[in-house]
Amino acid sequence: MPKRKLDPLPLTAFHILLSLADKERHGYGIMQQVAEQTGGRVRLGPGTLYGSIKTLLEEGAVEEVGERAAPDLGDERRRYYRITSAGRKLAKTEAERMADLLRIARSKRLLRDAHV
Amino acid sequence: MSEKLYARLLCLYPAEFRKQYGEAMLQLFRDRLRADPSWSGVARVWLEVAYDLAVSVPKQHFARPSRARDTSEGFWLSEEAARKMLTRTHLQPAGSVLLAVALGIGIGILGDAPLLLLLALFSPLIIATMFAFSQRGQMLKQWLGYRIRLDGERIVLLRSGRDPLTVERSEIARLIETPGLGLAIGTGNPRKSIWAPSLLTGYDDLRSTLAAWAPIEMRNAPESALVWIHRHAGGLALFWTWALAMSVRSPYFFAPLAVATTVALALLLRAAFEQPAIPAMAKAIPALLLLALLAKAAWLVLAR
Repeated sequence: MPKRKLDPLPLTAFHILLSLADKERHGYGIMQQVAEQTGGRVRLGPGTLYGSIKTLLEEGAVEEVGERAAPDLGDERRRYYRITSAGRKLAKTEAERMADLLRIARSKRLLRDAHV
Repeated sequence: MSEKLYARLLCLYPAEFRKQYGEAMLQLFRDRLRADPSWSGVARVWLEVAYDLAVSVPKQHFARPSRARDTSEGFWLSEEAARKMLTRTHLQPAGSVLLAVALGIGIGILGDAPLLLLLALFSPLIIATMFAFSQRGQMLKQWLGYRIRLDGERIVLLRSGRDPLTVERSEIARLIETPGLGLAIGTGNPRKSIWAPSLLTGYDDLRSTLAAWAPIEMRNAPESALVWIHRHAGGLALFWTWALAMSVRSPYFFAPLAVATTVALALLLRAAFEQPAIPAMAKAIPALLLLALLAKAAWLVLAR
């Protein structure tokens, strides 16, 4: 098997997996959720978003769950995506890695009480 | 106007990527504009899109080919997809059969049928279902090893522990797609047909390639597991319902079972008599079953 494209997990892909962790979303919904979870610091453009989704689909981390209209966005049909169990494992591993780094940063007093 | 301009700019992306995601990207752009249609909002969107284009266009052009287009690896099922296939092809039908068995035993007990007779009647089904469940690990491995490869003008099906099956483009007689399930590649020889589940990674690529080889016929929406069982095992289901009707002693349970079975048997008999090619012996079986039901009905009436 060739080297996996999500090893290491790119930050954009991680944000997308986090946004899908609690529910299925369409592309715009993912973009909005990522902007919300990063306080507006990360705004995914269409090319970046769908480029990452393409990779996540190929690697089996997310799956498309069909098209339907979004209740608050009119009648246009949108493609919805859902995180898979493999995607969940990937996101969990990355989150644990970041938690370890956070612990080290705290132990070296790089972070005070601002980051819980 | 912004939308038209962005639609033009999408041509910068590779054709494959544009075909798969162009519409969705345009939709996303439209949603961003709608969220803030003011001049400053539109300007902000264009600034972000300009950056996005600068970063993502080269990335897509230089991206490693997707595995589905790497023909040495072929099209396969991810673990998630393999589990779904297992559920669809084994666990759901087995679950439906178990449900039918539980219902049958329940009706039999409530209908005062002898317990031993009920167990004897349904035990083959229980054993078959338990066997199916016990094989799920093996079946999952088979689905994980299920792979389709395109080698020039031929399709090769690779399965764990079995010889590869090769179908040349010139041998393809029919391509039939069932939406949501997959594509059947038929050659006229039942032993030389390939099933491409829609859950294969890169299924759309495979489908596009095959669509260029032969027209794809669309089949109706997929059946539920229960309808599938009825279609493929209707005769057995009818026999089991007849056997249950013959087992119960309570007239209140016998009556509905007998009515349903009688109607089904009568329809079967009518269809059998309309087919002269069916041997007399085969026609006699539903007639005998019907007679047995009527005899029991008469006995229950007389016994009261």
